[in-house]
Amino acid sequence: LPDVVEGVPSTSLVELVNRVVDRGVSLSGDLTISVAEVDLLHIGLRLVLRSVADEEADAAAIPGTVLARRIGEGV
Amino acid sequence: VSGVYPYCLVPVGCEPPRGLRGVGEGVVEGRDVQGFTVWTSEEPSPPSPNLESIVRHDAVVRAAAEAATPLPVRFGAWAPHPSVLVERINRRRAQLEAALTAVSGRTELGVTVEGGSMPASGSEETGDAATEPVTDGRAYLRKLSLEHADRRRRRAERLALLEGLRAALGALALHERVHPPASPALVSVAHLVPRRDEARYRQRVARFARDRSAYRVRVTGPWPPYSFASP
Repeated sequence: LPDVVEGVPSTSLVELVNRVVDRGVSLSGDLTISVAEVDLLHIGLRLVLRSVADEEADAAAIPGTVLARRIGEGV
Repeated sequence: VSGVYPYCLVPVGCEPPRGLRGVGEGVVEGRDVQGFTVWTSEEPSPPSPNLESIVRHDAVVRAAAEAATPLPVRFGAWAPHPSVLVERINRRRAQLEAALTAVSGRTELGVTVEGGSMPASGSEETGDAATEPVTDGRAYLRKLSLEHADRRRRRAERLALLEGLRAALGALALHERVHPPASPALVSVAHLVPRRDEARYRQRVARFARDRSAYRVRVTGPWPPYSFASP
């Protein structure tokens, strides 16, 4: 791991990566994932990517409660 | 003019500390854009999608959270020119304003729950069938059936935990976002909580955990409100 993440527990690191990469305001953008200076994968961040697990987790929320409402809805 | 990389939106006038560095060593500065200050750094190219860049991105957002509640921008939103970023923000200005207002004065706290009385496989009902080698069609169908029953039990267990947690937190949790739990977590959930109520939140989660000794319950955060900033 790089120096900047020394001392961060691995479980917290997973949660951090999930939040920074998968949440937050999407202001568009593009990423190209390269290996050895070869472009392998271009990701258009205009897309909102959601995993099946994400969908299932949301479905697990008990409907009909104020708590289950997300700020992202309806704004 | 170089490209620009945004980290978060904050109320106008909230400026980054001097010398704060961004994902690519560019200095972070506040840019006023139509009713917001956007913390950005000049970067000639998009950030490398690696762990170090992600941690640096988060460090800038956390620095903003020390001064005001930021609206975090998702990792990777590099723009080739400042005017492109301004145009993107203007296009969604009303949504962004509403989202920034909604998180103002609040923080994100999370709860993860691990363990539980029912293992994912090999429970009393499933016996050894789940791990037995599949020798014929009947055994294969039985294995599928047991796995399905196991998933249903886990789901019921998760729902019961979430219900219990909601009852324990009451109105303290203003909003909730259930996340897909990363193994071995059974439940991973984020709550938006008034900043002043962090201690009360931790007390209530501790009380929730006391009644559930079969589980390991952990509070994570405080986080910038990533989970509540996705309009």
